[in-house]
Amino acid sequence: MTGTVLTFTRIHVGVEGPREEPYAVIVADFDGERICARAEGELAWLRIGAPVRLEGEAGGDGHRRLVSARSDGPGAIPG
Amino acid sequence: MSRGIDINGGGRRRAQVIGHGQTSFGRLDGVSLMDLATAATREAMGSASIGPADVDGLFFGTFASLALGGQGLPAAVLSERLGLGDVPAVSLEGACASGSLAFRHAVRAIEAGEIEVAVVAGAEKMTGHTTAVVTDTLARANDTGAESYRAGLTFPGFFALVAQRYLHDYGVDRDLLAEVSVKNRAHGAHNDKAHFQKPVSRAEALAARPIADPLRLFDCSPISDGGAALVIASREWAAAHDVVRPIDVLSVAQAGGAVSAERMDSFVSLSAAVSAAQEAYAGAGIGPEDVDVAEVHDCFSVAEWVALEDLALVPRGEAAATTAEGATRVGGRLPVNPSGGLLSKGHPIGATGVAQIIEIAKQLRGEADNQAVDARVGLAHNVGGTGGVAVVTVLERAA
Repeated sequence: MTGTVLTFTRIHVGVEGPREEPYAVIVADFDGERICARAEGELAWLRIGAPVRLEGEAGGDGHRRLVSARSDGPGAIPG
Repeated sequence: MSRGIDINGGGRRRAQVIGHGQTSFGRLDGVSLMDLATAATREAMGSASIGPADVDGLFFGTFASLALGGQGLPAAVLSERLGLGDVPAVSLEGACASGSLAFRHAVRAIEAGEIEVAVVAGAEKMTGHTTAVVTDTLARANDTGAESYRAGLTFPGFFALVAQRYLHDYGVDRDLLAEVSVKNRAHGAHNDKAHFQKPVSRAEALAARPIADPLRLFDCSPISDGGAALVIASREWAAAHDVVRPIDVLSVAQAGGAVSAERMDSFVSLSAAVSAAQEAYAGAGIGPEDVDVAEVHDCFSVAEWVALEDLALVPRGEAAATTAEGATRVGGRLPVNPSGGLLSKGHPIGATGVAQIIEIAKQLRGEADNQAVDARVGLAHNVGGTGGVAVVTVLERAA
């Protein structure tokens, strides 16, 4: 499932306080549906318009459970 | 110009601001939520020269009275502390717009003829907890079932999403964000009740540690304690009691919007603020060009840009340049946040909206610490959550 990053941020101070490694929160468009997800690790690829792939399945509580996002890198998928 | 005309036709009763009080904002050790609310309200009642027997209703805006302040039923407790007897007292919660919601409901009660005199209080006790507890409490002003909340989106994170998109869409240099905090910290240096009264330089702002890209420390409002209160009355009551220099409430409008980041129509505008502004201007019988001074909800630097554009005070995409050229400083063509705004004055959630209206009332009376020249019409803009609620108030110096 591949979409396009609409906006993003790298969070240096999370709910639990300052972090050594920031995590990203991304809002992306997937065929007209907006999905918000979290990405950690290598984030150099992250920019508005970047292609993004979501991992995870719908949870059993009625809410989508998307806890990670990543891209194969700038240019890997046309954005 | 015909102002304050009911958009549904016909005249209406009008409310006036006749008194105000405010504690210092900041880290206030050894005082409780109720101490703050009581102190501010007593000061407001004193400035309006009224006693408990004059009050017909109490409206109290607070967001986290129980979670952070440790106090349930805050309006009734405040009423008892003030000796208001069996006067109806209600607390209103609209996240960071709680204070303005309280004001709006008080104004509506007066306009409807239900009451003549109302006390409006706003207060929050936020320090004394870990930053993690406060951050999580604030983050719950999103839909906690939404993906963004589950993903760990904080409020700095939410406005960072807005900032990233704003910089992208309008081709704005991220360093220009610092112009907002530098300006508001300069304004706050004139406010002896502000949380921060020390200016910051552009270099200091740009060198500060990152919080949520592209926002740095000085782009973020602080965790503050504080209380603020207003006394408002019907114009007829004020005239009968020889109130000196009352301020007319031309309009106060509330609208709703998205309660999570992924449900926003646009990342560079809060639809609730746009709707509330349009209704407020129509209700006041004015346009944005008539506003002489504004207090807007600068919880984060980029939020001031978005507010200016949502209020149509500045064309879309031009708020950054307008700020950089100095137009929003006191002495500029449109002074914005002369109190220092949330970035400098502080942001005790429930008190914020009330304090904004106090600042505008003082500006229109000509008694502000950081006075705009000949301000006759002023506006306050207060937002809750991710724009789930917005309140816009228009005040005018009474003739």
